[in-house]
Amino acid sequence: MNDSKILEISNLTTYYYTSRGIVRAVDGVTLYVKRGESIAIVGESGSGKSTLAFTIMRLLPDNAQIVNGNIWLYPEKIDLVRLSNDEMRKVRGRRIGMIFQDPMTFLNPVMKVGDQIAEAIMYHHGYTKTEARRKAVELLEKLRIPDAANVASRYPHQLSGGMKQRVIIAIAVSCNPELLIADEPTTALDVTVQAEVLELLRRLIQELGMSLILVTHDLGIVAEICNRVTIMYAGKIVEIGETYSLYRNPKHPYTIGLLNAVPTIHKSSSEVGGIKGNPPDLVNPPTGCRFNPRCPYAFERCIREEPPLIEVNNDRAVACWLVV
Amino acid sequence: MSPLIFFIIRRLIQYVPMILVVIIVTFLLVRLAPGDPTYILVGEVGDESFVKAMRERLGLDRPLYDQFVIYISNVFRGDLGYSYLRSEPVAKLIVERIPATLLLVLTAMFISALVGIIVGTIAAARRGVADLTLSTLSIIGISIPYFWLGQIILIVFAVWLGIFPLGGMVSVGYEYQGLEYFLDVLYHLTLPAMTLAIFNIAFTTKITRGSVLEALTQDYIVTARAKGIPESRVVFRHALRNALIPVVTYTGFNTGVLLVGAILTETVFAWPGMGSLLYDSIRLRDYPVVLGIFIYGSIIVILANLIVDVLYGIIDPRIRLR
Repeated sequence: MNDSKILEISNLTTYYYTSRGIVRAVDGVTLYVKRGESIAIVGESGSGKSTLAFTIMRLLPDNAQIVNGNIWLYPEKIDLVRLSNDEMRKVRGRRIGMIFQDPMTFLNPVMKVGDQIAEAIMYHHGYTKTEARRKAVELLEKLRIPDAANVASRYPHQLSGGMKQRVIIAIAVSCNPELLIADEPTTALDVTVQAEVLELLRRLIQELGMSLILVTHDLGIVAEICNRVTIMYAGKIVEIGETYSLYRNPKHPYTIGLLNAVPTIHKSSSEVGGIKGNPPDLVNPPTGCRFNPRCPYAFERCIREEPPLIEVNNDRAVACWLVV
Repeated sequence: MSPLIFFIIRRLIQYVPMILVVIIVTFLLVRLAPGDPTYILVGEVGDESFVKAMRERLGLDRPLYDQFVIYISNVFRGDLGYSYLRSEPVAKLIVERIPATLLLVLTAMFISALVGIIVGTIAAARRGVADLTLSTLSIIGISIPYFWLGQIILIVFAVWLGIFPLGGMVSVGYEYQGLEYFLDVLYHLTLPAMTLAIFNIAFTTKITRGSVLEALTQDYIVTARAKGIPESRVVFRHALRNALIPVVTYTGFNTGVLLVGAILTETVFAWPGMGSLLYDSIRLRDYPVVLGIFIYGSIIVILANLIVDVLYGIIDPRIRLR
């Protein structure tokens, strides 16, 4: 693995314009992904992690807008934020693939799955329909789907959830993208199927040499495949670091709370800690550090002043006044 | 294919009682209407014994339920009776005129489905000015009654501009054959088909627009966009295909409305179909012809719905034919 970057996000800000006001879903996020690296973006629902993923793909709903920042795709360092729609279309699928959360709703119900996989191959590589279909079957075989040719000629409703998620993965990797974004890829699956799909994903990115951005709320699956972890809270990154070091020694009070909230076999359920309170309203976020209303260690500066991401050593950065 | 044929046969059997109900209801409805064919045949001041003889000849002197039993048993033997006025078998009268009506209705249906689906999809995909214009036009289209629209179209295109014939289905006195005949019919068909289609284009546009808009909010559209395929393909291949069920339902459902519209349109354009026959027959209380046309009409509507049922399965693989 070399150290060259594949994606760099700088001060990225995405707002939703709603009838209640402006929702600051992603607010000044800075992040990079190295070639061949797997990075996790972890947070609770409403933390902006999915919005961040959809912002990178420029697949935001009509009421959302990228307000500020850059998303550079290497090696050319093209800024995805400023790309025309037509040029962005060439990036999607071809250079960045995306895996979605719910295999039940993200597949077109009236199209054969083989055709859904073949579609991107036809458009990006100029294959004929027959060639692209054959490619799709090969891809399904690679994803260890038995009787792939038969599966390719089926409709989504004829497949199991795990099978459908493999089809979603096949669509995402069909054009050998350099970067894969997975938005909660196992959340909608049964636990046993989760492990299978996860293992598949890990093997796939290794074989194809892809980088991965894994968006999840599940710290367990992060440990299995990601080199680095980014913790997001209320639209901002609160801590970022190498996976094992961050798990062993979390610095941000939110990360500590998050790790305590994971039940293990050694803890009885009464010992599983949570984080008191609820995520803030992103229309009117708290002043200073956005975590301060829920933080057990909050002091006066946390309410007055917003902490920047502070590097504590070369592989860790924390947005908290406690580490200063 | 055998499940499909099995499905069709089962449906056809289910339709028999439906047709029976149609016959009962229309038989009673026609008789509920005031007026008496006897007086139309013999005149208002006819001799009393002549009127009586005529009633006996037509069977109208018998009690209503007797008449009904006779009629229905004849119908099930394939005999729709004789026209009071034209002294010809009803079946012959209708069968002669059915092709003209079907040509008109199917053309209008085809045009409205094609144009309505394309326009509706474009309206849904391109919000803003285009959508507003098309939506406004379709509201206007829906609001215009056939008979008025037909007359206006006739005046503008046939009378003022003189580019289309005033009426009829073929040019009289030319005896065209082959391709020339076909083109001549097409030339005559243009205005009535346009009249009949406009309302439907408007309605199909509205339904398609709503349905495509709804489809475009679905998750699989995000997947399609994430593949980097052109937006036109996202809209027409992914969204439209999923949006088609309500459109097809409406089109099938609307066969009956189109048949009614055809009656008015045919009258305006002197189109020699079932519509003008029905119009005359209702006016002159020619009961057997009116009933015969209703029976044929209901069969057409039922067949249209059968086609819709089959189309469902083709459009959406999740809908299994049962």
